[in-house]
Amino acid sequence: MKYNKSGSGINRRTFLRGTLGGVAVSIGLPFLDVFLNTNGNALAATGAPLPKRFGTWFFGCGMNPLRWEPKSVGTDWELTPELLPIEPMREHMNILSGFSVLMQGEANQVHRTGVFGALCGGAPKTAETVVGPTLDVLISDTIGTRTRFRSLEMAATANPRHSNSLRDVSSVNPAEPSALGLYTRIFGPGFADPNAAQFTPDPNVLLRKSALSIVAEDRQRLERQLGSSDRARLDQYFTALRQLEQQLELQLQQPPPLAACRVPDAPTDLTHDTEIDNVMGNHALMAKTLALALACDQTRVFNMQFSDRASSLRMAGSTDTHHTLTHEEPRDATLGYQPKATEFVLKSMEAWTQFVQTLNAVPEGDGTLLDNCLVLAHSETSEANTHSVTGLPFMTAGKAGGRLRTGLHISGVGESASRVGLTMQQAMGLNVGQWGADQNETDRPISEILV
Amino acid sequence: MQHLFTLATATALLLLLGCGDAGTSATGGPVAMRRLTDEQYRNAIEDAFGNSVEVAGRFEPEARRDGLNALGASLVAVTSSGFEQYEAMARNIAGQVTSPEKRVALLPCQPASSTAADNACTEQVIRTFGRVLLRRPLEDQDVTPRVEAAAQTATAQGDFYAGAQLALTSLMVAPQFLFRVDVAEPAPLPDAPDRLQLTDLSLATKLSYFLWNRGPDEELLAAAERGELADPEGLAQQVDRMLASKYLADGVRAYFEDIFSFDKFDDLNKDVKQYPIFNNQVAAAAREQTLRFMIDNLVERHGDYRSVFTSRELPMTRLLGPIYGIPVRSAEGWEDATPPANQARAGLLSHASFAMLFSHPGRSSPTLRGVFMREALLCQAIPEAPADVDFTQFVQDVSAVHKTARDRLQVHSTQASCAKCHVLTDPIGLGLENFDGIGRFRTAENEAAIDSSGDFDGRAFTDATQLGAAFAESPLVSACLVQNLYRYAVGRKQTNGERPLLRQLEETFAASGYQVPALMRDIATSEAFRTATAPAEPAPAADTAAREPSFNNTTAEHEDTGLATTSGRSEST
Amino acid sequence: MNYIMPIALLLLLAACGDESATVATTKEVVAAATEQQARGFVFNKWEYEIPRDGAIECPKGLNITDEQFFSDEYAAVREEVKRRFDKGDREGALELLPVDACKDPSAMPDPGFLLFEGNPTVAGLDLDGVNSTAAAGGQCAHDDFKDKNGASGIDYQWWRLMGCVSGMRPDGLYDRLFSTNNTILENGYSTLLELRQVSGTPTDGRVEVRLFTSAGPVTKDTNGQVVRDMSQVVHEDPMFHSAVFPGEIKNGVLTAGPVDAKLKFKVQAIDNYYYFRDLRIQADILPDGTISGLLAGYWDTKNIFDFMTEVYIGPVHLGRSAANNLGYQCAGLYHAIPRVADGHPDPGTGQCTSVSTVIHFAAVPAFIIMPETKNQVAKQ
Repeated sequence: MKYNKSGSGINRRTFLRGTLGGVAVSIGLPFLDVFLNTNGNALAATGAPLPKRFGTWFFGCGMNPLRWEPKSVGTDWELTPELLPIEPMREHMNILSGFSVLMQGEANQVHRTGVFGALCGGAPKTAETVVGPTLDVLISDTIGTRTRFRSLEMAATANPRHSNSLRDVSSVNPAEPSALGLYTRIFGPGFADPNAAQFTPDPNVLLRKSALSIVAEDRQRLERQLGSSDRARLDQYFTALRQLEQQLELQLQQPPPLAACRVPDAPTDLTHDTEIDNVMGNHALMAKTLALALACDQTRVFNMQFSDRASSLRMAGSTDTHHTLTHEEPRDATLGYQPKATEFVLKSMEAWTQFVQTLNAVPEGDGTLLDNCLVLAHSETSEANTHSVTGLPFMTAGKAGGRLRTGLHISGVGESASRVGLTMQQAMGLNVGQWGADQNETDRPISEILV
Repeated sequence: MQHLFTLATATALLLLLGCGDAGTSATGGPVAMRRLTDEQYRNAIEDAFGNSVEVAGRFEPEARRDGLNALGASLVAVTSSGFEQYEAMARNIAGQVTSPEKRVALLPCQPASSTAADNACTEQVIRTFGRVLLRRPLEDQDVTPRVEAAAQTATAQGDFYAGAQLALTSLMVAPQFLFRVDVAEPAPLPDAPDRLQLTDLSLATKLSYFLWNRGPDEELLAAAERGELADPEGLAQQVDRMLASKYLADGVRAYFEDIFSFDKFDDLNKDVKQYPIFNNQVAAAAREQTLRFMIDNLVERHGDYRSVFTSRELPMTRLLGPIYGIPVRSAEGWEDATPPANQARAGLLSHASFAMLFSHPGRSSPTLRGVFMREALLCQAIPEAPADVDFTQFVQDVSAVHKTARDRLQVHSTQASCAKCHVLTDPIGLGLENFDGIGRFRTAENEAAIDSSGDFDGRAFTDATQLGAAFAESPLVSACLVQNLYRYAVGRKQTNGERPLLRQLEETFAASGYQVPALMRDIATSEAFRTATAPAEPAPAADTAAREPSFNNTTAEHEDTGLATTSGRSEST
Repeated sequence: MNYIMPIALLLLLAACGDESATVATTKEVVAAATEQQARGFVFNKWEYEIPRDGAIECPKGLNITDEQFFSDEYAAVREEVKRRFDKGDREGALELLPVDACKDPSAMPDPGFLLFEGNPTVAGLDLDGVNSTAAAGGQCAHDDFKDKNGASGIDYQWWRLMGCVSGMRPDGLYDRLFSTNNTILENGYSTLLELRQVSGTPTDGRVEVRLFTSAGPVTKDTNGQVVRDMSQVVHEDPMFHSAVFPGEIKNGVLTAGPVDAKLKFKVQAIDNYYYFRDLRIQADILPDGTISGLLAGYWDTKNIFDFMTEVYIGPVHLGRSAANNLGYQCAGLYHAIPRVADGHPDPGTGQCTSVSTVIHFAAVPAFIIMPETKNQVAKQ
């Protein structure tokens, strides 16, 4: 069947007319190459490589550089006090220290420059702009077009606004605030079990697609009236619509079996608030659901916020947030750091380790799900007290399907954090040679960790 | 009385001098495309289908710009997960409307046979509901594809209502429903060649969302169709009708919900050990209290806007009794109450809502409160906290014992660089220190007496009551309302060309006795409201004018830790 | 009442000038301001006095239950009873059990009842002004107790009745469960106390007192504690509005009474009321505005039995289950109550018709709202 890239070659309603008669969609239908990428790589079940997944894992208010950064680079580095919690998974991780968001005239927007500078490749110039889409959006534009969800965003703090994933400031992907909500969205109605013996496509799916196509084909009438920035927003609306259409299209086909996939039980959320125990608990529940969502190829890109920018986490029984403590707690004269604020650093590292362990607990192929993932942990600041965006904490987990070495500590010696972003994109197979804006533009990935 | 006379004379003089002309004939700013808020979405569903239909789902978070979600609405798009939600909601609503229980009551017609297509009835369904949802009469291009698809579905499924459900779903996911677009046609003038005029239908939508926070009703739509809004008389007639409607309260409520940042209640976290009586219902009650107060004063009683800062009486409900320390007779609902005489509590600033919202989880925050007052009520931007301040000298002095917030903040006003910002926020924030983190009145903190006296821009006050009185008399307060209400109405910041209009609106607002409905009328009937310029093209990179106000919890830098500013204050324009 | 205002003003002025008064708690401030109106309180604690110090043993043993008394008969039907209960046939199950004296005390003869004979120290009041001893003889003769300060003449005959019932003893069922204020916090009804200043000051003066039952459960905070300063509505049935009775506050201690009071008690399966006669209050008004102390009075004998045995779930009478749980037999209790009664002798027979009882209570400030019903006793 002929089909052109803009997607309008097939008249959707013509296609539907033939199948709306209630006749079950037969597996004998020609395999639309919309399910193949431009290289025509087949899907996992037919023996081709397992999908690679990318994700970000965000924790707020950074760390204490002197206690976090390992002292030596390479493979032989000792765990520092604030990295102790990662010990069980260190072999699966890389520590990337010393990479900074370089600023040249841009103000350091507190709790913003560090994260959007790293994720978008350049320091944001104003409080309401970013220099480009975030890393995960760029990657999902390439690898996320074939899955039911282009990407999944989650916030352990139960707040949909706690998300750093955006195409631009008008289009911030909201986070799923509830473990049960996440589960229902993925494994509830609309989930097609790849390993199910029987497959009966839901006739409602065709109806839903039909409703959407009416709207999709009416695009030009509205576009005509708009200026370019509004047209761009309308564009995003139609991209979102297309994403849903794609989800529905997938539901019409039996998904290829995936050995690693199994459907979990529905979780029960803990209290939705910012108390550390509830956050850790909800985080663990979401991680489990996410791991199986990845194994079932529901998405290949994800963003987990453990704590938000300017972390609003609190210890049980305490009234001060992590963020307040980083500014108000005195530095202990003997210890040399802020004891209560630093507790949160350790908790973050603990949660990060648990997250990685959860991915590693799913067997996949010859190894585990984690082996086919690349997760980037990061924060919006190194030293939160001064909002420093120098030497931001970055960690990777997973081997990206064999593309990444692990177990290393690399120091960026003050170079731009876009090197990290560039490396991530290359590891995920994007065809990008240079990335970043202005003084943060780079063409040098961190080759030590790329295979 | 005399005061009013003087004002009236002054206004008349100004008008004579022609200063008024620039205001009244200003062309509006660029056209806007605004996404419906969740409240507006719900109102639209209610207007179309009545209130027996439930709206269940989660809406994408809104964006706040310059203190208003209404401005952010002109900026946001729809993300994938947002669209998923819209589609699910639309399907669900359409399903309810075509369900056996409701279809007879809600649909404008029934098919000849329920098991087959009926194009005439389908068309009627689409046109009837489409008119309300899309806020205009439907064109063939809106109708025909939907009728066709519905017919196919009805035939294939043997169910007319399945087709109707599909048609309705597609209306509710349409961008023409989810976004309201200013459509304008060229209407040049010799001195304004780029001038555009909103079509009557566009104007109707803009009016109804401003005054009612919902789409135009049938009468307004019909008037727009007849071209009556192009005529100032016809426009005034509709505006006056709308101001007399019960929906005006919804419109006023929506404005204050927005400028007071009451959506932050959704994320409000309090430490239950400090405030065990705080819970979601108490928070919701506090939110409702302030909104009712505004509506009671400004709409029901036609009160002077300035009086909201001094009025002691306020709506009370049982859940809030313990916070205000007064008995509440009604088991359910609201009654008017007066706080006890020995609580220095009068006016908006002393409400529990602000105390709760602009506080930390475990204690009050004079700085957050001060920032809110400056930015939302006085339209004075507080500079962002600079990143690289050194706190060690403040937090290292462990020998100092700070019992009250004033003590804690005092330390930081000793530093000139910190004082520059904190002198704007802290003195007035400290004026509200008698209200703890959930709004209860207290005279001491940690057993040390609270001193809530201070200075508001040169005027001394001894407590929150006097601070309220100072706000009531500040010209900045009413000017700020005018600016924010105008911005809210048009969905963007005012242009340079609109500044004279704002000044004129301020004058007439004062002359009217600070009547908010009168101000809304003046905005709605102004040239600028119904005219426009071409859509804005993206500004070049270095746009430093816009800045998101910082009275949200992520920038609690303003608290206790005093931060120097490197860029200096920037006046909000 | 118009001398209240200047006094209130003086108080406020004094408060402004006085160093220590500037740190007055909110409650004191509000209390001063509402002096002209009533000061209300809602109970957040209600528990019987359980003596723990001194001679609290029961050398003759503890009371037995019907289950133990009828053990053979119970054994015979036990399987079938259980089977019927499991099927949901409660009534059918209870039918099989031996005679239910809790429903009908005349259904069996008096099996006997072990009274408490010890001499521990007891919190309470000397209600009759007499240091009574059993040796003194007479129909209502009884031994009074001493309290921990050595004061004698403390009347607490209810403990003579219940002191050898295992469920009421220290660490027994009641002590462990109900003394955590289970009933009030478990959405049971509560008691409201109202003070109106007649003369003097809130800490030193004369007051008029009233007791009411609440219209419903109290409001609790996230820690499960009763919220203070909440508006509490009074129960609409005037039966649960006491008469106004006099009281005095001296050095922060409230003494009030006597008054007859019927106070509703409703929680879970229990829907009953206490009937106290010549009830007195002795309690401390604490600096934080709360009240804590004792209610002591004479519990009407008929009401005691009704109260303790009228427990229903649906149509099913569970008085026997309650008695089995606490550790006594209803028939025994029924006949023991007149034996311990020490108050309100019947003019004809001389038999006392009430039993002195001591309740520990605490209450937090509340606003008392009278209900709006036609039956309401007009309140001035």
